[in-house]
This record gives sequence, structure tokens and C-alpha cells, in this order.
Amino acid sequence: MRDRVFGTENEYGALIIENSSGKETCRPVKKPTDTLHISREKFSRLGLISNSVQSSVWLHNGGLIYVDCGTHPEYASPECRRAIDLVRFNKAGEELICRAFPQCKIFKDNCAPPIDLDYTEVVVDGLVSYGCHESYLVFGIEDFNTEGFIGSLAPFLASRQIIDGSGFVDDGGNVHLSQRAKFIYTLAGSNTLNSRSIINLRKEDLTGTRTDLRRLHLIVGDANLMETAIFLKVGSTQLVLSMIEDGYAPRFDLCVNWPMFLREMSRNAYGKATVVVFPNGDRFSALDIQWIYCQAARKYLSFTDFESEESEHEAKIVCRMWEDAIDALWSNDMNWLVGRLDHATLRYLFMVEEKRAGAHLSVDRKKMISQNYRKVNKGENMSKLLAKKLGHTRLLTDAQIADALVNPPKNTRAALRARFLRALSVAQKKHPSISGAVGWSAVVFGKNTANINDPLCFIDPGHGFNGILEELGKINSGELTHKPQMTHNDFGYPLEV
Amino acid sequence: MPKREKRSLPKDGKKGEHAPSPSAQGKEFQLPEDEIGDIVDDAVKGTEQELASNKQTNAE
Repeated sequence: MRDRVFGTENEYGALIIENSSGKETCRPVKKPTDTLHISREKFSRLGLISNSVQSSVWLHNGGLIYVDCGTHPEYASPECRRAIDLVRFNKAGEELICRAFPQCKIFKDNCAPPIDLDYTEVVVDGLVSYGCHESYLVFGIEDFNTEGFIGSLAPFLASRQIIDGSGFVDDGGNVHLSQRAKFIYTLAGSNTLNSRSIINLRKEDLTGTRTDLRRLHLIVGDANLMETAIFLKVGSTQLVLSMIEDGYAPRFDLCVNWPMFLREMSRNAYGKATVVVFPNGDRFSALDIQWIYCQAARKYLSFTDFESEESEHEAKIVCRMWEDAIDALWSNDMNWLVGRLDHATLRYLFMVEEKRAGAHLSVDRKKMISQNYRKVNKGENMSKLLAKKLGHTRLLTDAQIADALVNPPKNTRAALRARFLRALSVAQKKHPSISGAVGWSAVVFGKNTANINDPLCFIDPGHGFNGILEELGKINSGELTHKPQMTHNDFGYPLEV
Repeated sequence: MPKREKRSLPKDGKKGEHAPSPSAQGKEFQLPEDEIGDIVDDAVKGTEQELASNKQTNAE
């Protein structure tokens, strides 16, 4: 089992806070007049705001915050090598997004902002879906559009929402497992805005000339608040990808309509009732399918080699926790599920409220609870308060998450990106006219571009990168005088060097 | 096609041969229902006030 890198991109719903005559009100972002801007003043210590594009900022933790389509904030985590790191950077993203957009109320949400609660005069059609996209580095598989790859991965992803579903209240007050499921209509394809797929085939590798590495970009998952849900979502997926790479993954027939199974299962409480029926009469529920993958992973981990003890340790923890989650779902063990899986936590909140009220909750009240659950602003953060009360469910400490606000993962190329950003920040303090540019697979300073194509490389990427850092070091120590002059770099906009 | 393992086969909607739930394996924990209810109530109250204020401002 090889170490891989992975990351998430979380799209957030935002409401603009307005103050008029001493009263605070909220309204959704309107296109195109309300284009969001990152707070330069509050954010300069956490990252590099591009001089040409005020709506994006490369963070000192190696990640990126930007405004997507002018309407919603988005946070891309840095590349991580461990699932627990991704949980850390994902949670740090909630804090960073709020700091970047202090003028907004922010929701970690797959669906449109809470327009149906009279927040707005803006009509948003029902097809708006804010997602949590995942990216995984995949080794040695050039084509994802094959029966083998899809037959092994799609059934796993279609049933994974019993773990990563974040809960959704429809207009009839019914509670679904997943927010995203109702937007998934095809098995495999490259469209990310409509006709979304279980397996996204878009080719955007971000690994430069490395043709042996491919990036798998998944858009099928929900945005999670609970640490365990994020950990299991990413951890189990990377185990399944390792099994696929090594030819050990379970493989299902593709004669079944997997997108339909995914959508129908989402409407089913705990993934038990909806079954997929194969021509030979075999019947599988979502829990059956997850159990098959989980047990295959357990066997796989008993014989595969690992790159380090740390990798082995985490893979085994993922597997054990995955089993626990399936067991807990079978037995409806709320003591285990609440605080760990989002959809179960949300259901529990409804249950508690119904018990208190002594009556069924109205649709609006359910939606209000659901939206509050996803609000991530400081001081109004229900999921954080719940996590505090349910401390035994947490995987991380607040200090570990706080560290991820400013420090990158140490074992991926994000560490190199962060080194460059820090050196550049110091240089900019001395010489405000100095600029540089950074991307996922390259950094630019002056006329020099250095590639960081290998996402797993974190020590010595070569002369180009080292040369740039050396030059910045000399400027910072006063050994080299900075002379501003205009040029163009590979990113296509003017920079001063 | 993969085979289902016995452990994953509940019979008649019952737990069947599935393992005991994680909580039943010595990880006993009682959810603090009242405290969780208070958190939810406070949050919802805040939103209700916000919505009322929004409606009033829009009406004005």
C-alpha cells in the first residue's frame, strides 16, 4: 500500500451581514453585484493575497481560499498524506474561511444558503449545490473510464453516504442521509455543474509532466462537520483505491443503476432498507456493500506492505473505526453515532427537540436546526459546542487544529509551497513592491519558475526551487538589493521582480 | 461478484449475526440529552430573532 496525497475543497454558503441604522440583517450573495472579497486587512498574516486577483489567497498552511463564481467562498486544503491531517486541515478551513470573510455568515453546506427561511428576496433555483470535492493521487491507472475501475469504485462511493452523509431536510420535512445524493445522476462523466457523476472523469492532474500520477477528483460526497466522518470518508476511500491499484478490490456488476441506488438510499434512514438487486438474485443493502469493502480492506491490510509504521497504524485505525461505524449503524447505536457521523447527529438533535416539544417538529424548525448545525462562525457554532459536550468522539485537540491554520503538512509538497510563501512574506515586509506567484505545482519568483510536480516530494525538489529560496534568503538578509522591474511570468499576469 | 459474509446478513430486520454495537462492547456512554437540547434551543432562538429582525427591516 503506497502513501498517496489527498485533499478536499469545501464550498461554503455565505450570507452577507448588513448593518443599517444600528440593525444587523443578513441576505444571500447576489450575482454579480455582490462579488465577495477577501478581507486583506485581517488576512495578511495568514497568507499571500494575489495582487492581481483579490479574490484568492494562498495560505501559509499550503492551502488556498478563493471566491468561486463570485458567489461562494471555497477552501482547498493543502495536500495531506494522512487522513488525520486532512481532518485537521479541513477543520482549520472553517476558521480560515470565517476570518477571510468577516462580513459573512458562513455555512458548511452542500445546498444553497438558507433562502427558504425568509432570509432573502433572491430566488435560487433548486439545483444549486455546494459540495465537498475530494482529490486523491492515484498510481499507475491511466484511464478511470474502465469497467474494472468503475465496477470497483462506484458501488463503494454509492454506498459511502451511510458514513459521510451530512443529513438533509426536504420540503416535506423528511430527513435524508445525504445533501449531495439528489444531484448525482450519472455513473461516470466529467461534468461538475449539472449531470454530476459518482466518478468524475475530468482530467486535471496538477502533477506537471508526471504521467504516472493521476488525480482522481470526486464530487459525490457531502461536507462534514464531525471529525470522525471526515476521517472515515477519506480514510476508507484511500484504502479502496489502494486495493484497486493492487488488484484486490471487490468488483460489482455495472448492470445496476448505481446513481439511482445512491439517490434512493439517501431517502432511507440508515441504508438498510434500500437494496440493489442483481440479475442472479443477489440483494445488497448499502451496509452490506460497505461491509464487503471493509472486510476486503481488513484482509488486504493483513498482507500488504506499508511505506512506514505510521501508514500502517493509521490504515488499521481507519479499518477498525469503519467496522465500528457499520456495527453502530446496524444496531442504531446512537451513543456511538452521535458526534461521529453527521446524519445520525442531526437525527438525534431532531429526536431531542421532539421529545422536548412533545410533538413533531415543523419543517421550518427542522431546517433551522439543520442550518444552524452547519453554521461555522465563531460564537454561533453548534457543531463545535456539540463536539465539546461529546469530547470522547473527537480525534483532534483544538491546539492541533489551531496549528493547521498557519503550518503546512510536513510530508507533502505543501511544505515546499509554504516555505516559499514564508520567505516571500518576509521579503515583502522589507520591500513591499516584491511579488511572486504560487500554484499547486509551481512557484514563481522574478523570471524563475520552479516546478513542484511530485505531490509527495517535500524535501528537495531541485535546483530551481532551491535557487528561488536562496535568492529570497539573500534579499531577506540584505545581501542582495531588490530592484523592482516589470516582467511576465508563466501565470500570465505582470509581476514585479 | 463479491460474496456477502455471514456477519453482514441481518435476518428479518433484526441484528442477526452482526457484532455487538460498539457501545455494548464496553464503551458505555450516556448522551447528555439535556445539555444537547439546550445547545439546539439556544441556536434556534438566535436564528428566530435574526429572522424576525430581517423581516422587520425588509418591511420597513
